[in-house]
Amino acid sequence: MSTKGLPWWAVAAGATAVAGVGGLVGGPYFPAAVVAGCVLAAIAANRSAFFTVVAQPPLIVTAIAVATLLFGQSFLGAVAQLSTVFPYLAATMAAVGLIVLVRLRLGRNRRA
Amino acid sequence: MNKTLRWTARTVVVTMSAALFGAIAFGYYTYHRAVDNLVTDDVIVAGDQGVPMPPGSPTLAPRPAEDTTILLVGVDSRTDAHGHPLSREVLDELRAGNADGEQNTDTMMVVHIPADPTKHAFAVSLPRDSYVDIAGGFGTHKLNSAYARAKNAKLTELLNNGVGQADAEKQATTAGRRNLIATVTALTGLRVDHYAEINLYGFSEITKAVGGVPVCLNESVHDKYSGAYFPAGKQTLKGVDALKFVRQRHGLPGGDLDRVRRQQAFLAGLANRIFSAGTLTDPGKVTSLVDSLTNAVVLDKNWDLVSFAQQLQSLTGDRVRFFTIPTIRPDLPTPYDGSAVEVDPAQVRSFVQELLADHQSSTGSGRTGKPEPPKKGKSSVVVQRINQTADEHPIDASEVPCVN
Repeated sequence: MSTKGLPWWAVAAGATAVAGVGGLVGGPYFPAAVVAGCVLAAIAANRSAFFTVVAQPPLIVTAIAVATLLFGQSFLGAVAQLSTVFPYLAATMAAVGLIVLVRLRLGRNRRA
Repeated sequence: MNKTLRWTARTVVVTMSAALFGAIAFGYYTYHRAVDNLVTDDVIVAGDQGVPMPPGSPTLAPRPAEDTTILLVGVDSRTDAHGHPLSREVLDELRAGNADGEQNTDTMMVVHIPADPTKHAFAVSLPRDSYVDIAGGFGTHKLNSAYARAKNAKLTELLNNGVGQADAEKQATTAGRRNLIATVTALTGLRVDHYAEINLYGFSEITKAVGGVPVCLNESVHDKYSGAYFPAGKQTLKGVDALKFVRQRHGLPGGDLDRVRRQQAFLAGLANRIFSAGTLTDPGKVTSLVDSLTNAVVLDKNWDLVSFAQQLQSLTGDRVRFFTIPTIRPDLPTPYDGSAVEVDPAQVRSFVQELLADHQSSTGSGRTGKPEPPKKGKSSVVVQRINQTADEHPIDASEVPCVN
């Protein structure tokens, strides 16, 4: 197994950190940071962490929305926040899925 | 062994991820239903308020700290919020008469929510029969006619100028709402930041969507005018029964003032029901709540349903207290409007100023002023002291208060 790239825990921590900073800044930075964090994670991940890359986006946005409750956000505000981010979330899922497929294909070609 | 564990962990993670994705998708769908179907009207006159938040923009940053004053209005409209007429069946169910062009605002409440979360919010009811100066030069009349007077005047003017019926109706309604806001501002001295109007039918639908609202009556009531037949004690009301509860005024010891207290108690109960765990976590209930809200309410155009709901949320718990403006005589004879409720605008304004000044302390003075009982046939004017409210005990949203 290749040792290049980030292990699963670094993938999860990195993407969460980037999205979290965006969440703290607020406004349009949140969806932008979610897309950036998750896509970067997909590019930088070790092949063994592909599962994390694909599964993490909904978990990350939910965790951050919940975390904003601790910063004084109202429950309804957090729900609205989470709801409005959906198009970006769906785009992120599609993007990371594509990146993973391409990387898998490239890896197979290289081995072949 | 390790492999099994890993497989199990992955299954759990995938399931959670998919479930959250689905939940967020549902949230997005519901949010857009709420935003797209909402009826708004440009009723807050420009220059009157701060910078509006762009609607629908994702925001995590805390909103700018600003006190918010909302005018909540209940109208006995024979149409829904979209202007579609209600069916005869529904009208019969509501015990509403035929559409006669009259559109009185029978419930008016000013809600003030301080930006500082440690301070108390307050809601002040304005009795519909309050005899006040109506904005727009209409003279002194009952407060509940401010909307209809301006609307009818504007409608006649527009139709005479050849504006089409539908357009004229719409613009005249806006004029009516603006006039009511101007009248309330003049009466209370409070600048109105937001406006929310709810109609009869929508109101009953909302109570159905939340599965009923708990109320409590001191005495059993039998009123054939409103069709209110309720036993004493705690009960849960919804739909038409809920309407009867908030509309009854005949046969109550304090007449319209008792009805005002019922409305306060009911609103507190409704807000509690909406934000109780069982409502907002049940997708079916959320959907019917959003549908009923979009059919029932008209908000000012700088507002959206989520912000409205967030403000409504501050009406739950013990942070808010309900009052009624000080009134003098409940049976003031008037030349054109029958018997009205006498109010002194100066007294109302100082009452509101006092609430603004000391609403942070729940033990402030003047909270337990005894109401002046309605004295039939008494001719001398009894002026209540300014720091007395018309409520024996201000209604507090933390429990189900028993009312007359």
